[in-house]
Amino acid sequence: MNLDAQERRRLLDAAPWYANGTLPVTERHWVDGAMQRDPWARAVVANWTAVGAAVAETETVALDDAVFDRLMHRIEHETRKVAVTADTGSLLRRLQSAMHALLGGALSPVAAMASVVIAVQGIVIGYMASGDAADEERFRAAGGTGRPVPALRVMIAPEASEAALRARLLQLDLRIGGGPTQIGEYWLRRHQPAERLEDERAAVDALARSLQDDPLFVAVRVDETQGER
Amino acid sequence: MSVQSPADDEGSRALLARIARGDKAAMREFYDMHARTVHAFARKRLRDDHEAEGIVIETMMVVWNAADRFRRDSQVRTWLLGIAKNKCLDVLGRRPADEHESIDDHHDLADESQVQPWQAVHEGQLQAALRRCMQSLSALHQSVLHLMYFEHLSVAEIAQVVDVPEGTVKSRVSNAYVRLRPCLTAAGFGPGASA
Repeated sequence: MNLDAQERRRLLDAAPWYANGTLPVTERHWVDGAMQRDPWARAVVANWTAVGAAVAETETVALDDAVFDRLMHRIEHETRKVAVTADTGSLLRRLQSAMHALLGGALSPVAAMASVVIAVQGIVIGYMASGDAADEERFRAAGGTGRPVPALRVMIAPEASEAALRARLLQLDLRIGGGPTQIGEYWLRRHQPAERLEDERAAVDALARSLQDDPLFVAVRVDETQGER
Repeated sequence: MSVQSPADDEGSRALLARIARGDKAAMREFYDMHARTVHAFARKRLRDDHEAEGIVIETMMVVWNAADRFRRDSQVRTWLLGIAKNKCLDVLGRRPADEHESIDDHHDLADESQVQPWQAVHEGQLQAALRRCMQSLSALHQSVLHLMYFEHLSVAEIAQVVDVPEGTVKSRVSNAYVRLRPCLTAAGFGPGASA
């Protein structure tokens, strides 16, 4: 007995997934039965099987090894930046110890500490500046000029929905001020920045700390860029 | 053709745990397991080899930076393809407006006259015609068919990857079938022979 109109609709819905092997077992058995009853059902399934075979036979292109090399270069570059920042504390202690050994009792502990802090800051800032040069270059090329503006630089979690993101930005009075960079980072800015640069820096720093464990963002840091695009 | 077993998924999860601890050797293994999947999907979606390679790097960078945020309730491959899809949308969003696709997601599945079977009397010729005709489909339709028949994802998994309801996935599939018809008819495979 051939399928009636309702059964044909059911078969049309199920056939593509029967052909790709992901149809639930009960529905699969129903399709098997339908194919035994009606040549039309067999033809529909045969068509989808043919489509599947054609897709599967599509030529695949090998992925160049250079792609992996580019990936590792990016990982090395970014991991080193994080490591330098994270290691600041231990580097500080090592430098403090080295300075103390070098200077002995000739320098007071406070003065020695101040010297170390200045030295470490120089190292870190110099490193970060060189690491960010490419992104800043892209930013300037995109037309960003003017006085430094503190901003949050974030990577949005892949599972974050647009609605959740909008709600969070609204809640924090933030807007997307630029991006994405080549690694998918965005700049977030406050809608109403403070008039004094120091106040704005403090506000953005506080925001960065509050967002560290936010599931909507993968990486959050403070960035100062020249104007915005 | 890529069919993933539960053991593959467990292996991928174990690698993600190591990647979250900064293990670069694990990243290499993960890349070897999944880069081709991401690349093949991005090629279908973007129709550009160079941009597809960029999507592989961007997607793997997210893995490197966010491995600890992987949700245990989804499959690794589905999660990965979802990231790749978002990265593809970023690229598509930067393309000129006239390259954007217009998709009718609401094709009526009940319109039986449009989904009559094709004649299947010449199997070999039908395969060749299908491969040719599929090139005329939009990148969006091609990528859905790719996820179905190359990655063997279920309707629920595809819905998760492309972030649309399951009904929309089914509509796109039906729509792709209907859009193949004029090309197949022109190639001599008209509908109705077996009806």
